[in-house]
Amino acid sequence: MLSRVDGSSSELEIASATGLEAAQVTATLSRLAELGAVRFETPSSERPRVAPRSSTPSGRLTLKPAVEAQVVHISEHPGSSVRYDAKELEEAADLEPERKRRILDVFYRLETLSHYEILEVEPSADRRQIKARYYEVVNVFHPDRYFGRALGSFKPKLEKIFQRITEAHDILTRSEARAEYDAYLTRHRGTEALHRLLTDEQARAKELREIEDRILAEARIGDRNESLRPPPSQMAPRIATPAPSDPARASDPGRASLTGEAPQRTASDTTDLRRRVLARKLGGSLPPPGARSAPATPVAPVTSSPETRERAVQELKRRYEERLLDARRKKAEELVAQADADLGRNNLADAVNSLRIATSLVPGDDRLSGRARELESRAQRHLSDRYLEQASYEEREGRFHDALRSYTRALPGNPSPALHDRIAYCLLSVGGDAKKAIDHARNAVREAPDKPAFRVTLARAFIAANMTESALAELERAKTLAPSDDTITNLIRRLKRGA
Amino acid sequence: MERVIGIDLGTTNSCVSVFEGDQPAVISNRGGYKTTPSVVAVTEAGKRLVGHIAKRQAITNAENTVYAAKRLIGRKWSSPQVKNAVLTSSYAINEGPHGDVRIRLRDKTYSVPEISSIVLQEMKIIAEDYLGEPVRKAVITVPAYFNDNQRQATKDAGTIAGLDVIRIINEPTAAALAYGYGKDLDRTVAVYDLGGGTFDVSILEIGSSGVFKVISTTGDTFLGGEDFDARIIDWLVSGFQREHTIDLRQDRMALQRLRDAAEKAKCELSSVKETEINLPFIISTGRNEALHLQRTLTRDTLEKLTDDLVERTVEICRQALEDARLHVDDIEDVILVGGMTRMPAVQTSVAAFFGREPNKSVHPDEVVAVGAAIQGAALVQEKKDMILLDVTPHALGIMTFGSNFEELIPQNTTVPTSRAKIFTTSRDDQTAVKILVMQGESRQAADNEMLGEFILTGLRRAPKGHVEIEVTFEINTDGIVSVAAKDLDTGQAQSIQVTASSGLTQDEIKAMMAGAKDYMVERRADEEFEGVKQEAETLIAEIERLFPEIERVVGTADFGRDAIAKARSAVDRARGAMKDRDPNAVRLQVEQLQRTQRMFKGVVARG
Ligand SMILES: Nc1ncnc2c1ncn2[C@@H]1O[C@H](COP(=O)(O)OP(=O)(O)OP(=O)(O)O)[C@@H](O)[C@H]1O
Ligand SMILES: [Mg+2]
Repeated sequence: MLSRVDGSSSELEIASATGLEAAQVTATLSRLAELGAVRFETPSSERPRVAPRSSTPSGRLTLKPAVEAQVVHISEHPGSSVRYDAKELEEAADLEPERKRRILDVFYRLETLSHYEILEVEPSADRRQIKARYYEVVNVFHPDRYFGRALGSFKPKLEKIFQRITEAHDILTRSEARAEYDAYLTRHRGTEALHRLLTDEQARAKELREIEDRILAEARIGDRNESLRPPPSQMAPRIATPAPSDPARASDPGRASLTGEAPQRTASDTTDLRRRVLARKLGGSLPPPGARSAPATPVAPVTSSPETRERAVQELKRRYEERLLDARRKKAEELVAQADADLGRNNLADAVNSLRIATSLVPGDDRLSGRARELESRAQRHLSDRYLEQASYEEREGRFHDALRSYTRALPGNPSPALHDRIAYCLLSVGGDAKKAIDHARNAVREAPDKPAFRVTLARAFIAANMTESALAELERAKTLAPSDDTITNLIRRLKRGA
Repeated sequence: MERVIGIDLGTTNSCVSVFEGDQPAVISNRGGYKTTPSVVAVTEAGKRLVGHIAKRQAITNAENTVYAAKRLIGRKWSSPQVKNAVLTSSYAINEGPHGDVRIRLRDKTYSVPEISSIVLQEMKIIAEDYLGEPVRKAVITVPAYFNDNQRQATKDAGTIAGLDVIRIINEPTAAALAYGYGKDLDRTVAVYDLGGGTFDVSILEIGSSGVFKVISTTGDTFLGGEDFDARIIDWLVSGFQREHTIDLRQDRMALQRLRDAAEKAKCELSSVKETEINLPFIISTGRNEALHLQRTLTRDTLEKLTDDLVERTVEICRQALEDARLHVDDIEDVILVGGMTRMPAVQTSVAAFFGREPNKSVHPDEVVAVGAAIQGAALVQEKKDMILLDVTPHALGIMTFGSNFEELIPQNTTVPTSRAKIFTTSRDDQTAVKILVMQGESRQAADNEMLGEFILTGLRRAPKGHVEIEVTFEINTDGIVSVAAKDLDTGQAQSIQVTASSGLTQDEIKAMMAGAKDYMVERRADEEFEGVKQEAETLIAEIERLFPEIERVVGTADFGRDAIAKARSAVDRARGAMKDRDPNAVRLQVEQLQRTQRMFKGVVARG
């Protein structure tokens, strides 16, 4: 049956080609899909996410940070997410609700918006445009606009926003400072891009799919070209017109395609999809014009003699697969060359990406996959270092939200107890999830049980979670480790008094 | 909408303005002048004088007449400027209880903000008389280069005068506001403000949508017309010394006459090429022989005597441009502010430096008050058509190990703003740290101005450098500085609002406010008394005019003689009551006088 899978035939078509029951085809296909031999495709954009196969060699790192909530990427479109608590709108400040919303919206994104974004100007805007825009924004955010009104907590927020837009103006209107900032932005975006490349499986899967589609399409064109040559006499002419070249067909939902090492769906996904596809397909389309391999079961009757047909099909199939393999190998080589070039340009992110795709194209190549893995962990370490730098800078600046994100992103490449401790600390500083803080702090304490500071952080996390007993116990342990530390003694005293 | 007055509290002259309709108006004082001398005096009778009257009696009452109090406001007794003032002032300057400065007039000692409050109160009264309603809110201007202590002291002066100072703004900025308000300009300007005591330069961008953004500001709070006058005085004194070997400075009255003559000559030389300084009987010798001073001062000589002062202002302009990261070509207009900019040498130097003729459209004496009024109105108005973005004229920071000054908020940072820095402990097991908040540009802490201090305790015991303390400085829209320190390990935090000290405690300010109120009551009573006194005097004059006629008509009759005697005693009683300055008694006599006058008129008409 595998031989009937050609990247465009639907299950029903395969069923009729192989003479199997539709249900049987479906069941077999899902098993094959589970094994990774085939994958289903849907043309829609809500293509299910492709998860790595469990049998992929370990070492593939997933950067799924523990605390990624609330993060807005610098490049994301401003206004794309609401980060404030709706309760803040209820504060009795003498401002129109719309104004309040705007202030809060900007305030909570102050540190994630670029200078361009905060002024809402294009990166290509000239000095005049930036100035004009700045004056406009000043008229919205300067506290004097609201002089004499009760502003409550909105006043310091306005002051912060004003400070930030002024900083943006001052930098973007001085050519030297602007050039420096632009360079920083590029670097920062580089880190972000690297991060995304390393974490965004979806994007890579999409790229891989596009490459595969191209390869397949080209192979089919090859098919057709071949068919334009005089067919072998034994071959029925109509077999020579392969279905895949039909564009309507190519986009047929539920067509299965053969890939070497295909990432696959989870079983339940597959079953579900299969059902949907079958339901649609049962209306029936014409049986496929031909099969490409010896059917395991008798095929539907055709006009030519079985032997001739069999041979022709075998031949076509062999050539087709050869072409596919060649094309994949060629593409992989291209990608490796590109990766080398990227590496030469110090573009680690793109290099890793190219190698990963190359590995997927030629799955058997151990050397290639080894290299990809090696490069990937290098990139991961590099990213980690960058995030660490960024995080400690942000923490110093008191930007705990940012520090938290950066530490979290540094974690996969450098899962040290100190890092867990910092994450817990930052989580507590921003009043984040105490349970998560406890997890991280525990992790740090487990790995470095003799560090009193880590235990203090853990105790703090316990306090934040109202687990006073555990906090006390932890502090006592910390005290044994550092008997002269006043902080610990004070904390214990305060805790006992409160209890 | 409550009215807000704008007050330019100058070293030599003050001016008040208010927004009327959609235009700012400069208010004249009772004498019809748009500016009022910032002079305060106490007479022998203990009466307080302000403005022109105070200035007019200065020569005869030099020791009890305060000039240029602004040069002392918010300064410490130990500062060199105060030392200098002690030597050259005609009034007595003493050390106050908080290392501040006090001025002795007759038998009473005044703080400097108190003296300034007397001027402010006068400006408030001028505005109230004009508007016919009480005024409470004010925007007061200060030299841009004033530090926070000087600003606070000025604010305190306003409070003592019974004003709610809603904002202190910088003089050159105010001038720019008055220059650009409502004109929808889009240009970069320089404001050159040379007044009686201080010099400021500010570079501003006036943008569309009514935004005035200061880019840089710098100056010298001890450079102004007074220093030009001093050069002339020196020239006169040393000439006199050469001729008569007598030091005129030893005589306070002579010194005051010299001061007036020098200023007058300086002003005259702005329009003529030479002038005569003539001071007869300036001093008498030991042998009771009167000496006269008579000299001719030419514009050339004046320019030679003061060219370094003018050069210094140009140098400061250069600095302002540098701080703004601009080139002279970027400046699209130059605004001249302050009486001293009438001096031709100043105008030519400024024109030469900026490579363009300065703008002559603003009134150098009034523009600052007008700007203050504009800002005041813009703040309280519902429709806000103007926003002022000013900068910190001095860097703010803390003192660190080794008496170094560590800057947190740099000079020329747009306010409101905030900055944080991390510091570490400098000793092992240090559990407390003292945060000294300072302002200034010197790397040496001692050269900068102390604004306040506080102590952060409860630090974790650790080797030096191991405890991290985050210090955050914040300046809000109202110019209030607050400083917070936080131990990053323990989260222990401490913060203060740095109310820069004017040298006065809150209690002292309260007491002075009460004093100012008493003065107001007294003054209003005085005015009332003057009113009835005037009335009584008119009546008396009328009655006395009628006496001969009455004598002639009824003087022979008994009742007539009786009436005349009654009338005479009523006039005497009225005079007595006036002498006692008893308004109620005078009012009583006024009624009596009115009756007498009516009766006299009747008699004359019948006879
Ligand atoms: N025609 C003139 N020529 C030269 N100087 C003049 C002239 N008219 C006034 N001045 C000087 O200008 C000075 C006063 O200027 P102004 O009234 O602007 O100062 P101020 O506002 O009181 O002081 P400051 O702004 O320094 O606190 C005095 O020194 C005065 O002698
Ligand atoms: Mg002035």
